[in-house]
Amino acid sequence: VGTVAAVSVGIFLTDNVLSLQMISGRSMQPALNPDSNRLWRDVVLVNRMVKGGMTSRLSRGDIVTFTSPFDPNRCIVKRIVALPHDCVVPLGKPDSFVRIPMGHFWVEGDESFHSNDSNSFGPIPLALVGGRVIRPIWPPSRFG
Amino acid sequence: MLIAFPTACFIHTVFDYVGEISMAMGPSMLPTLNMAGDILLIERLPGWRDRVRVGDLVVFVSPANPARRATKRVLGQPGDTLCVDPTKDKLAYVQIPRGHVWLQGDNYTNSTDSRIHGPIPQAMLRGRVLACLWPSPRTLSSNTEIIPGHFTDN
Repeated sequence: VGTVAAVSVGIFLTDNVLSLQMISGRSMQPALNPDSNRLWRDVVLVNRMVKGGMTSRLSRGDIVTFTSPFDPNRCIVKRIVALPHDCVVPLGKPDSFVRIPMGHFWVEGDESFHSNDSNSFGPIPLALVGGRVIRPIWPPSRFG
Repeated sequence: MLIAFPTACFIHTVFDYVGEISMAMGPSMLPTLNMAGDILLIERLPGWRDRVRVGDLVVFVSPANPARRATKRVLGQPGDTLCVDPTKDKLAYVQIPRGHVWLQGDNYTNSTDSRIHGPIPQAMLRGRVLACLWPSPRTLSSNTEIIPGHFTDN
């Protein structure tokens, strides 16, 4: 019984309170994975209490993890640029704008040249949000 | 308190990784589901996403409102080409992108579904409906036969 309880509490806390995420790729440089030699990958602490995307708990500028709309097994980390009903001018199309529909948001990587984000796939549903990145905790030099 | 918290976590974990029992509401799945009062058995055993077939009923989060869940039928899987409304004179086809499904309510006249939202990401699905337990017990999983369509070039 003790093991079942411990495992349940562990699963609950990891899914709904706090978890760790390893960051791959360069799309969020310099904020995340700043090493241009790519010798290490950041591990970040993620606040899972914002899972599900209820807007009042998310702000523009937050770095969030979300499930890829093109692959339900893949987790993507980007920054929130716009929330429902905002207007966004996409990168590379300065004469057009996109109005974010109800229930959706717009994400971008800080490093636009290496980022596959809303500039390619458009606004995505808020329900995909899995958590908000708090801070890197690994390697130790990033935690200080 | 020491007993209540792990118990609550256990129940929550069962809901997330085994399944749940939930009531359906709304007219969009008539006549398959009643407007209110149908108790559904929903499965979430690991691997359930791969078991979703065309014809299955699924629970999903609404793309327009993340606080709202709905139940609809899967009519298209990723990669399928789907005819949006065969009753119209001018037929429109949609290619369902990778990672998305086409969801549609059985009550075509009163359903907000993929005909409005477009293909919906599979990540928005929250469970596969196995059966209705009450008031009239019946299975609701897929028994749809797929007959390949013939496309005419306009």
